[in-house]
Amino acid sequence: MNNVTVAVVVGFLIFFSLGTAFIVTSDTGEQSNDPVVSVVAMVNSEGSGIFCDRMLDINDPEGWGGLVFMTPGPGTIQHEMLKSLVFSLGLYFALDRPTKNNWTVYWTQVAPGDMSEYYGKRTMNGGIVWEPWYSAILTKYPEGSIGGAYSVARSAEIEPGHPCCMVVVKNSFMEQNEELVIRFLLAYIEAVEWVNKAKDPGDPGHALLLKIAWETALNKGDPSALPTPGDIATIEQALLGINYDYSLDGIKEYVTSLISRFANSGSITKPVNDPAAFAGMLINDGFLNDVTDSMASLREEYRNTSGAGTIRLGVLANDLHQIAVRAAWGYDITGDGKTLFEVYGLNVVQGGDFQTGGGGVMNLFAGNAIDIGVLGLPPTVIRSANGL
Amino acid sequence: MSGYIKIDNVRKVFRKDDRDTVAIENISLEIGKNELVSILGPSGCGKTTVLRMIAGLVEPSGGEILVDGNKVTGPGPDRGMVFQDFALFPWRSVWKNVEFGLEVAGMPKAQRDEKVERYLEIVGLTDFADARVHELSGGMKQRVGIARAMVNNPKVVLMDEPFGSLDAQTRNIMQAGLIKILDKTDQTIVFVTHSVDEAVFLSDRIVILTKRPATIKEIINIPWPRPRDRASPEFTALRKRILTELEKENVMN
Amino acid sequence: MRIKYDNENKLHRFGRYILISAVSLLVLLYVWWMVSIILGTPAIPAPPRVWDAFIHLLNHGDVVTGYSMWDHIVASLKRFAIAFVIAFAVAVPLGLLIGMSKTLDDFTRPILEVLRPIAPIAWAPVLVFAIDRTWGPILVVFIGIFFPLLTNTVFGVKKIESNLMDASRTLGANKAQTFYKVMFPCTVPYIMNGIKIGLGIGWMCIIAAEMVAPYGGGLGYFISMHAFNGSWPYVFVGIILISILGLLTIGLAERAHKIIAKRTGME
Repeated sequence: MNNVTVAVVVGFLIFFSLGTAFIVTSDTGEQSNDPVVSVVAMVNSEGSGIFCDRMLDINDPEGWGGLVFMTPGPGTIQHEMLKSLVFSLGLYFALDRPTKNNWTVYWTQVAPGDMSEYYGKRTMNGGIVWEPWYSAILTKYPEGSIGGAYSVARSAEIEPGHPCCMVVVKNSFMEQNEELVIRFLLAYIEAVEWVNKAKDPGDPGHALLLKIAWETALNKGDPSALPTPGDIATIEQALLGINYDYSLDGIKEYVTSLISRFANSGSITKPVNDPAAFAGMLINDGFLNDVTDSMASLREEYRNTSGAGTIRLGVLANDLHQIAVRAAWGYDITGDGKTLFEVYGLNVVQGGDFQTGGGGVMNLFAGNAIDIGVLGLPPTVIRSANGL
Repeated sequence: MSGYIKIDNVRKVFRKDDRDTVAIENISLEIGKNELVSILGPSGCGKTTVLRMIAGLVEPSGGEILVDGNKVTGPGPDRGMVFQDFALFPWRSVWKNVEFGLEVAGMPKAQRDEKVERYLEIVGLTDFADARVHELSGGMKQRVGIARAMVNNPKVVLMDEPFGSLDAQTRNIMQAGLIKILDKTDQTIVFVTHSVDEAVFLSDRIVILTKRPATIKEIINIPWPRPRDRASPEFTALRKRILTELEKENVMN
Repeated sequence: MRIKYDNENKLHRFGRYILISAVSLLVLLYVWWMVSIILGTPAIPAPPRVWDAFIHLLNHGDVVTGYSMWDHIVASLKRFAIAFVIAFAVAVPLGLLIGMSKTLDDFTRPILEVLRPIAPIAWAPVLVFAIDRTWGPILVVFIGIFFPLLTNTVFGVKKIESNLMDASRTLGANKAQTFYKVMFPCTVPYIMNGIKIGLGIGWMCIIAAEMVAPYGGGLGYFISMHAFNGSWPYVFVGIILISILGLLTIGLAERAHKIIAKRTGME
């Protein structure tokens, strides 16, 4: 053997022995799935719906078999809800495929904003989607016309009061910026209150709410475009189906049940040993309780301050659920020339592209692009349980 | 079968980037049946162009070429060609290379086999029928090239410096071999070479071209029988004379 | 006993190949393992986690889609095979024609130069929506295979020695005969090269192809769906399965290339 061979062999030996030692001494066992984010407030409950090219009864399996439904994808509340519904009808639920049978309901994943176009091609029978797309599809394809869409059920009819989107904070940010979180919640709660008031067509803020809703959910990035009468009708209808609320009551119990549900459906692939404890860690209602307990004094303290700090925010694209956050972020709803976030001294910046799903917002957390995100509860639970 | 070639006032102009270069200026030449004519000239003078015009691969800019009275308008199997770099088909065996012309002519298999076998025997490659081209030496490759051109039984065989890429010893062997082959066949041969020795050794006539634009400088008849003795005084004298002529062309450059 | 390595011994050569490949893969495994520990991110799971996920997938299938691992593999392979056949049937004749005709070359060049840089991932939503969910994904993979195959075929035609064409014509072959008896065999090595490059790029397209409106499963959707849910060990299983399929198909092409090269005498 010549010197080069010896050097190579020795090099490999050192490399492998060091590597082995390193690997053996490291804990490569199942890492704990303690969440790295916390849910600090709810955004909305309900606010989704199932549409189909024929009338179906959610209590009768007649006519369901062999149909193809679009969902925002496995791991979204809409997908899970449809799946539970199909199981309750005694049918199977499987990814769409060329050979179908009549005891299975098929699903495929389509971005919510694209569902209307796909539905128009009539290769898929229906879908389950969040607002405003549910209302938009029902408006665009009127019931009874050729290819018209029927409202099968609103999500409120399937699971009354089911939580949907959440305000989620990265733990590392929360621990060091408690005051910013409180300011954010104060602004957000005020926005929710305003939205709920402005939902009433008689309220003076109603027109602004419609504008915000349209720009948030239906305008596809054209600043000069104006809402059509159909758009307005869609938004009015959609707003009625969404319940805007920041309260976290009952969410821990719901998360506990979601964990076993998602473990069974294959979305959570890392076993959660104690779902209740996990839910307790993920849902942090302390901030919300503090804020609501002393709302008046906190408002007194923080309103009309400035320079408190910057928050990087991540949101979903075209999601009417998140309208309160958008209202507090980009509009003067108080009439004093500032956004609500500005009123509470916050500089809120966009921390990444608008996402088409909660998984995308969780990726922004993982990539340290955002401090606070607004996304569905299921992706938050699934990604946290799987380790982010 | 042999062919009578008439080159009538042929001219060739190459056009590149809007500039004309006259390569060949009004050449007229008749090559008789069963004759072996060599074309000699300073390098780059257009010897090969004359050959390629007879083959039909290059079109004359003026004048015409007739083979047995028929005007040449494109390549055809009546004018076989042997290339300096052999131009054999590497994906075909020796046998299949020789068979190519018969194959495209649509000759029946039995007839093809008989002909290929005969020509492989003539060039002495019977034992290498199944060999791949890349397994052969340069001399053997060119023997395949000659057999491939001859098997079509063309009227004319055009040889473009066929032994130019072979070493001196192989060249001599190939030249002697070519004479033997010519005894068994009766094609008219036009032979382009830059070797005066080779031309004198093989040719019935030698056509010497001038430098570009090429015209015919001189035509030398060599009535001696073949095989010729390279050491004979008249051989050496002729070779020396031609070399001197060619050198003049070069000196004038 | 000391064994002296003999390069002319087939068994020795094979043994050496196996040994070096095994060490190479071991190094990769080690580096992966260490990176996973050092970074500590769940997105790069340690090899044992991925192994567990693989065993689980093998035994229970993919619970989310209701497909077994083999279903996903077959779905992707089928798509890939159809895409390859179409790409071959289109790119090779087109490449030969473009290589032969300067006019066609000049005409198609702007079109191809405009289309070539578009990533298949950009085509996926367009093609799936515009065509359908069966042929859309196949066309995405097709695009990946098509361009390298076409460019290599054109290149092959342009590289044909003009002497071979001259020889063919002086031997009496007409244009069609020259085309399939001389030009085509001449381009075979280049076509084979294009195939090998195309196969590699084709597999890179499978995730993009299967991401939109999934239909009939496939490893590409398997990966993107599990990435969305953060099931990283499953993502890695999918990645490894695709790389194995890639290795197998490219290995097959390599083998075919060797056999053809040997039979045609063109190494």
